[in-house]
Amino acid sequence: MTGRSIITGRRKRDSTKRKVKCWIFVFSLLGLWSSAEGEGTAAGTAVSNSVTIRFQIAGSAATQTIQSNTDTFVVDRVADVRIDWMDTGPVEVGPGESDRVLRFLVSNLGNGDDNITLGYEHNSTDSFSPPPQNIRLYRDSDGDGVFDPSTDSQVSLLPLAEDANATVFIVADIPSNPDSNLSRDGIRVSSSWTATAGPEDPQAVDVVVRRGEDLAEGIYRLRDYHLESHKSATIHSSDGQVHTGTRITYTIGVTLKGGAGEVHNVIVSDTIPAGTEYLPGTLTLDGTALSDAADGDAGSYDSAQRLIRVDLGTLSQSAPGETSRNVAFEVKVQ
Amino acid sequence: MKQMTKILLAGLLAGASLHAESEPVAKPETTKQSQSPVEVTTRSLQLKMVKTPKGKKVKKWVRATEVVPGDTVRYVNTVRNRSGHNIEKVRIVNPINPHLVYLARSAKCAGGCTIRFSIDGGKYFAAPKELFVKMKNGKKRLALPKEYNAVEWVIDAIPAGENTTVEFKARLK
Repeated sequence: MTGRSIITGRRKRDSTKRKVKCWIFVFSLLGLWSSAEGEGTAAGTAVSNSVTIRFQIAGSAATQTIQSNTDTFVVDRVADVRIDWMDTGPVEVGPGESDRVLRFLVSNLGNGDDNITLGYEHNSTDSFSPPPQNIRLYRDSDGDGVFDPSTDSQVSLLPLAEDANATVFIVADIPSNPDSNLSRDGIRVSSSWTATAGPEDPQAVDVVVRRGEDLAEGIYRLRDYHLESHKSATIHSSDGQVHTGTRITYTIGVTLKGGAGEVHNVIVSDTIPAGTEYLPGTLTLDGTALSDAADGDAGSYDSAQRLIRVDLGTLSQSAPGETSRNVAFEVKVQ
Repeated sequence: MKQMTKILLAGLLAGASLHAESEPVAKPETTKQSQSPVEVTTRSLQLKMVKTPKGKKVKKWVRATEVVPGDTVRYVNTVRNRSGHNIEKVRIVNPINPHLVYLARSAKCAGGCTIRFSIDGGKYFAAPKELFVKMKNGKKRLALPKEYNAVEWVIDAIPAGENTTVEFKARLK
């Protein structure tokens, strides 16, 4: 008697989303982009100074006032680009997964516009091989912190106004047979401005490069936990053989194995084998009876489709090991 | 009208000070430098690495020509008394450009002087410990150096034929 069980589940992903938004908010407040006291003075701004002196000639009651010259210099342009990896920790991935995302924040800390070049870099000395494939860089065009190819734009140049920043994603496919558990992948940003070395003229707007390029690396980490399932059958027969009317108990074990982690929305579903009929009221989860109706508990039996379904919810463990749940039901051989 | 009031009060209260300044007893004359034997000049300087004639790199204050946000600018104001007389009750006032933030404890003078600051654009000057900001709740707190927007140096006298300097530093926003 054969049956086919289907186990589905969704691994923990992007609960970092809220944390990423928090970090973006915190980073903005911290003024790591030197904007805590307001924007930098724009390039080309004339800054003037003059002084007034009042005095009396000894022996005279008359006060005289003299104005000084006006000293003026023009603020030069400063090129200063920065990039930071924004995920709160390594992004967990599985072999063969596609479109896995690393988040970065690119900032223009200069005092003028900059058309920043983005370049992907893979740290081959400290990463699994083969490396991530199908690398794409996207700008978070809608600013929601979540990669969405339908709304975000693939980019290699990022124009940013002074003191502005933008979220950029690395999107990559994980190889199906990586040879280690980490991959370091980053983005190098480069300012479009280069330093000028003109004559010492306070009225000229020179370019000063404070930080012409920057590099930030993110980390993909292979998940070290996985789900396994195992189905067994117990034949309730005095001679161990299957006869008409023989009851069979099927047990489906679902186990989370490996390191700490969690898998969400785990659902067990199984079709009643041909030649048997489901015995009502026999569906259990970890020994606790479940109703056959699609009601408030975790289980149900659909007689039209001859399908049992049990929602296990989240399987999780905080330390390496195994965490198991068992679904059981009985059938009678027809 | 305001000037007439000042003159009248000065006549009635000879020698007294009004507010935080010494009030003139006669209408002050503003003179162009080219006509006056007393001259004041201002220069902006920045610290840069320069090569000495022997090729060694040293930091030196040079004319400010490459200033970017975050840089420190040093303003040096020089008074030259080319008149044949001592000048007294010398008061030098330097408004701070709105793009600059005064750096605490940077104001100084070459000789003896009294240094005061303003947070209202030069209407009222006081020593740091006597300069207050009124808060929305009605209370007051000491003004922060970064809130100063004018510096004043008061020098008792500059002898005939002598020069003196006053200065301060500020950071470009």
